[in-house]
Amino acid sequence: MTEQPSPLLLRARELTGRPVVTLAGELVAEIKDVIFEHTGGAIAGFTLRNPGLFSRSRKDALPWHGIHGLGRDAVLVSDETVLLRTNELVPRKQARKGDVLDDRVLTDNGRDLGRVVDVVLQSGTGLEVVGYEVEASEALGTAGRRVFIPLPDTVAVSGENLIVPAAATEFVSDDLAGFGAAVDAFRTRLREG
Amino acid sequence: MTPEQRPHPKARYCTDQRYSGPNGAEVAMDWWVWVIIVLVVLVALTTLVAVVQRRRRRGGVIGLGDTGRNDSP
Repeated sequence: MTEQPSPLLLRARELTGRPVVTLAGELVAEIKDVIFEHTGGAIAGFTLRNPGLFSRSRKDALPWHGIHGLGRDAVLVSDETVLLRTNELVPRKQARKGDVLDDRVLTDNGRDLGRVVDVVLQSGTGLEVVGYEVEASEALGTAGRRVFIPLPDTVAVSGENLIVPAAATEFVSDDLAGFGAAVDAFRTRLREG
Repeated sequence: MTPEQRPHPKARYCTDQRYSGPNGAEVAMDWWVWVIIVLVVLVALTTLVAVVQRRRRRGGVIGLGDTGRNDSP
């Protein structure tokens, strides 16, 4: 796995369409969906699609442990043998219903913070989900604007809604550059109670 | 011309006027109208295919584990 000098934040949708290339230089597929664990937020892998405008989704997926390197322009794998069948990585029902994009974000005291437009990932030793980019509702006082909401270690889901602690509203960030510090401060606050 | 051979006044009206459809539109359309109709249909179909394909190719962010979502099909 490629070593990252410092944690780097990126949006999950930036990974969509990124080519998956073998070390021999062969283009295998493109990234389609990002799969993450609700507990801990670690990235479990990616579903794939064939390259090309009229291509279809592939029946195999790329598990996180099969990635040799995740670069800005491509995802490197040793060869195609690292791919799994998609339903081994993500059950079909969850693939259909588990997409968090467009879900509403609610606080645990019932305030609607907005609609998820992207998910923020942080690279370190691995890649983990650390926040949501949401189109803010009236509750945040910036209705319609896109803001970043930090997440605790475990992502809670209820029905079609994503639940965050009410304290997350105090750590909402306007830009991605300063969001890493907001996530750290938020998680420290939760640990200290 | 005997009165029997003389055309009925209504028949003469019909031969003088070109037939129009119920709304006055002519049935025989010019070739360029067909070209426009075909182009409009092609543009509509292309747009539909592009929208469907864009939705199919759109990536998502899928959470694994106990989601609490309704699992019924």
